[in-house]
Amino acid sequence: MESSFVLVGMFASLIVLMLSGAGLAFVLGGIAFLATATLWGPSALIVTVLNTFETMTSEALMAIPLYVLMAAILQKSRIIDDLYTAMETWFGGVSGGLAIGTVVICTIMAAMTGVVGAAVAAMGILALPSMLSRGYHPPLALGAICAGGTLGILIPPSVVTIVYAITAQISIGQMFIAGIIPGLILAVGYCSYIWLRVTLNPKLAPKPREETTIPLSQKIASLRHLALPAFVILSVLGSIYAGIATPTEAAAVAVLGALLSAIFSGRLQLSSLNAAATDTLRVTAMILWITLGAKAFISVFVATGGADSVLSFVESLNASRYVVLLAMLLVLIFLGLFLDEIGIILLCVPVFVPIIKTLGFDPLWFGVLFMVTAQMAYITPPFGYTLFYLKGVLPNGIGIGQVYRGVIPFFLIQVVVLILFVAFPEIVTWLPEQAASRLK
Amino acid sequence: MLRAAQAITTFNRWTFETTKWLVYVIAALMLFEVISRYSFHNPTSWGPELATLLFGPFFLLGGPYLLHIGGHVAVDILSATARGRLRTILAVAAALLALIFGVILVRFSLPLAWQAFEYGETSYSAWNPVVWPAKMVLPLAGLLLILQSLAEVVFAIKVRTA
Repeated sequence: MESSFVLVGMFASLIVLMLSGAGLAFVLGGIAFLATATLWGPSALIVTVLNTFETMTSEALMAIPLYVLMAAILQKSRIIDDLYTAMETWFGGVSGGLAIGTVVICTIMAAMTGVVGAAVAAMGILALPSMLSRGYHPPLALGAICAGGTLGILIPPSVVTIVYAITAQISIGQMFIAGIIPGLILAVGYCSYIWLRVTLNPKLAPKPREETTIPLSQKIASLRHLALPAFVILSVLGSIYAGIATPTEAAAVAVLGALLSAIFSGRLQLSSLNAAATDTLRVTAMILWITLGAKAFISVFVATGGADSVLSFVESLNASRYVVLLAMLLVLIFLGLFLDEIGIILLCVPVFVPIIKTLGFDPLWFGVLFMVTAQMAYITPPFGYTLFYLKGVLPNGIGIGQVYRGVIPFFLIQVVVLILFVAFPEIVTWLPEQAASRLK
Repeated sequence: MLRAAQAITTFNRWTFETTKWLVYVIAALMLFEVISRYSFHNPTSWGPELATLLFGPFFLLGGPYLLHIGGHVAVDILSATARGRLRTILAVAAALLALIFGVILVRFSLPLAWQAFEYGETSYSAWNPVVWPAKMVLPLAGLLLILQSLAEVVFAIKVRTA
């Protein structure tokens, strides 16, 4: 059968079957197996199964459950509560302090966990009530939580980053390091916006009525809660940056760090270990099953020459490479409206990264741009994931509409930052280059 | 019918609840390897490999129960807003797609896993273990997925008629 006909059939059936609400893993896998059998006969499926066996024993992918486990242990043992208390002592007096503090906590959590839902859910429970009781403007408070929560995608260790690096066949360690500066720029951007907005209009975030100044000794004492998370972060990033451990090995060390943190805070219980294991298997099975399906689907796409025809099509356009880049980013943002990031990566990256390389761009840099668009997708209505996490914890009287309004300024900051990274790629590539030259 | 569907779900939940503890085993194995390599310069031949062999069964056996709790990545624009008959049809269609995937998985992975068992295939590494126990999990996970998707069909229809 004509292979281009099969390709069109594959994508058409993908779209139709996806709409049934079936797991994307099954849709992709099912179509891939059937297309393989149609094109090359049932014996070709042996290769597909062998690929699956390979995925099952991938050392790189094994980093995913370990990082998720670390995050889950930290979350279940309520280390975040301690962090939040410390933050309140430090930022309580600043204009818009609680909102800024929320972004700061989200940044720290992002560096510890790399799972978006964890930060948004925790801040929705901890930070939202305290901001609202202080009379903060609800959209500002909600926007800060949503935007801050998505930093986990970019700031290492991030599960989304691991999946991107593996799919694009670049170093996970390099990709992690590339996310640090862009992540911090976004965090600083969010904080400056909040501070500026509140300075211009103090009514948005009233300061506490009686000026209670917390003594410096108490402020410093509250920092001890930061010590263990900081130790976890530094041990993970340090060992990857120095090149002494693979990301998977660093993840195992991180699990130990999280367990030690939980023990020292006196909150390690069998029930939290149990709940952490449940979360870990849920997330891991979700990601790895769709990986199996998407790998099979993409291998058919590549083997039929679909990838080549996309490449030659892009080349034949003769368009400026920035126009092509813009088109790809728009596709990513669009898909992000209704598809999970992991699914988008597994579907788009094998197609997009060869184009990026042909155009002379750096896949590492494109990865960071991708993560920023992913963050946009997470906070954009109607299908932004953070909005759904937050919906569960909204107090009475606050509708999802106020969340939508709150995220708009933060979305615009993300757009500005994205343009900044496109215009000045050095911001993204400088730190990974430093790390690479150190290793030589 | 409903009784059978509930039994399947219970069995898959039990599988999930047992399998989830493997992540601690994987973490411990990797940690042991890191410590023995970097502190004692004495890497084990089996640590990382045993961890990767456990990794496949870990995530595969979690999949069938994930189908029941709706944990797989899916586009739910239509299914979340659909009501009545359309909702039932979509739920059944979604379960049947998972069923098809399970059937294909069993049909094509079982011969390969069986082959690995018959010939006593090993991994050709320094440790060189037999690989069939890990490979056998793929058809097993496919079978559990088939059973769970049948159970989901029953649940979808029962909700409709109830």
